Amino acid sequence: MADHRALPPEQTFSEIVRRLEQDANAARIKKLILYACKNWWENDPDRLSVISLQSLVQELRYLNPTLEHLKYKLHLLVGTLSKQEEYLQVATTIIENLTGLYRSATPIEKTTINTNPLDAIGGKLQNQITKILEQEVHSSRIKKLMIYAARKHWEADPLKIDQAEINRLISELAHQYPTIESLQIGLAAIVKSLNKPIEYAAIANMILREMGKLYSQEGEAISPESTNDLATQAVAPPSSQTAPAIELFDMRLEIVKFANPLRAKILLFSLVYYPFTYKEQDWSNLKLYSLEGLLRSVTTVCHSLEDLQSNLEVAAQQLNPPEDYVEVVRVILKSLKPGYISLQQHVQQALQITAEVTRANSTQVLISGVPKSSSAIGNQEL
Amino acid sequence: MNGQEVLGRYESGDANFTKENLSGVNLTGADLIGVNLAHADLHHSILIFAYLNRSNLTHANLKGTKLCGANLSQATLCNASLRDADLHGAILYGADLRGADLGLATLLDANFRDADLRNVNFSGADLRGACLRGANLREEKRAYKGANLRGADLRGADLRGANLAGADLSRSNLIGANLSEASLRNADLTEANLTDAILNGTFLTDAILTEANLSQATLRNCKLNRAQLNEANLSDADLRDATLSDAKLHKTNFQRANLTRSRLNRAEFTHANLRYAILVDALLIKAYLGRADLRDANLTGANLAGAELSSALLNGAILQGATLPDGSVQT
Repeated sequence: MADHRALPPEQTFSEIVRRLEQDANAARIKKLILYACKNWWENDPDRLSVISLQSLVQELRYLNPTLEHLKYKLHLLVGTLSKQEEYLQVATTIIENLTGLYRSATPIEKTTINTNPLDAIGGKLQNQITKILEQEVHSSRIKKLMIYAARKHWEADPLKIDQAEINRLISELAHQYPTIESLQIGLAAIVKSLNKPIEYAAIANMILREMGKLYSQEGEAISPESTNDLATQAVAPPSSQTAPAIELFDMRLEIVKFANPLRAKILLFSLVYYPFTYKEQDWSNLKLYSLEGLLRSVTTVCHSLEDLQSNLEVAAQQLNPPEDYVEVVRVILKSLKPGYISLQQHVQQALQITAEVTRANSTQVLISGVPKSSSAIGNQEL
Repeated sequence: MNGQEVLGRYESGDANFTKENLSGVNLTGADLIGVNLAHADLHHSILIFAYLNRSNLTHANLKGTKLCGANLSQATLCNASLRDADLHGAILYGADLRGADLGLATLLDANFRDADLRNVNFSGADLRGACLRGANLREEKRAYKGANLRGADLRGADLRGANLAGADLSRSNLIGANLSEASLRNADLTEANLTDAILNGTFLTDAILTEANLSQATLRNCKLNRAQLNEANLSDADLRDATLSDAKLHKTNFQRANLTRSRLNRAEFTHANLRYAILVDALLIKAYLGRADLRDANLTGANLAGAELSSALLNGAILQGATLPDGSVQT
């Protein structure tokens, strides 16, 4: 469904169309708008006359969510025409008239976007979630499950459970699980291993429902400046992206040369998601991730090489048998050491670009009325 | 025979299990280095993390066998049937798999470095993230057919330096794969998806890339002489210093592609889309650009001597310093 708030008031709209129709360059205006909307150039006056300018203007407005988009598009098209000077004037007329449409339209206030949960840590939203979870009847079970997911041990001491702060547990979980999918997998695996799986499945759903808000925040309206930047980025050559990609191939090669690729994956999976227990479900989950994807994910969980080392050692100790993984820890560290920081920066940038593109796409979707598809940011897996 | 009996025999010094029926046996983590399992029936057996280095599995039946994380380095698997087998993260470094059937097998993140894969059937296999660096998959006339990778999933696979000459990669998924320095001469890549793939210095001479998707791929210094790229998508691709002499480029999409210093002599660009393409210092001698769309393309310093340009669309194209078809230089 199209967002009707984005539509201009009827009167302003028809006024603009009327002004364009009465312009001395009316035919050229129609030609250029038609070209911008349908990507076809029409010279036949008969065919042009049967096309409604009103619907074309409407379409042009929908296709270009901001005035910057419109300017960019029209100037791009004018540059391709043989009578550039004449059509530059036509483009200016269109932009001047349509400016009113962008001013009168209520800006898109909220779009749902997937974001890094860490962005919201320490904010109002976290406090709200804490409050809701604390007030739940099963708050002690909620804490137990959160402790297990965050600290990998089952807390049975009622005093320690009581003292555990939900607010802090939320932060810990957000750090460990970069995506809502990873949290879901982590909780599902824990629930399965408990002796009251049905009761804890409901608790897990409660945590997911509330924590989900951190991963899917209500984004602010997109400023024209930011979308304009995106348009510039879109035409920039993609070559800058390939250097880190090649680096990642080298890191991966070093790992598979000196360690068992499957053991490397199990270790990284255990660090990023939950300790691997060789159960059927664990094998299926592991197949969802590639070694490359796990290496990318690990950079979002471990903020430094020291962090990576200690987390890998902890993960190795939790696996069965730990001695099979000690050597793998050494190989992974050695392979990642030279390019860890640059890989980390690259992953962060990629996540940001994805988030921005998603924001831009969701704006576009909202305006054009196409059903919104959920995008998985941070899911760098193949 | 069960797992214990196999291990007992092996430990007592008997490593010959030729033609034995070991189907369904569980040998997880077993140490069976150098074992002879030629013609043995191991279908649906469990060999997770097993050590099978230098073992002989010639003609073995390994259909549906679980070999995840197994070490098969330097093993001989000639003509073995591994159809639908699970080799997730397995090590096949330097293994000899000539004529083996790996159709529909799970080979996710498996290590096939320097393996002999001539005449191997990989059709429909899951090779995501697999390492095939330096592997030999080439066709040899009268001896070996090229490897069959039809419809295989090779996303993010490492194929650097692999020999895939004459291999069938039609409809394969190579998104984000690295094929740098690999040889794909005469290879069939019809309708393959190579979006974001890295093909620096790759040899694609005489390759068939009809309707392949190479958008945003990096093809620097790639050799594409006589390649068939009709209706292929190369939009936003990086083709700097690439050679495409005599290539067939009918209706090929090069929108916004960077073709700086590329060699495109005698290439056939009929109806090709080169809008916004960067062709700075490109060589287009005797290229046929009939009805090609060069609007807004940058042809600064390009050499178009003897090229057919009369029906091309050139609105907005930059031709400063370019050598025109009649040999004159545009000022």
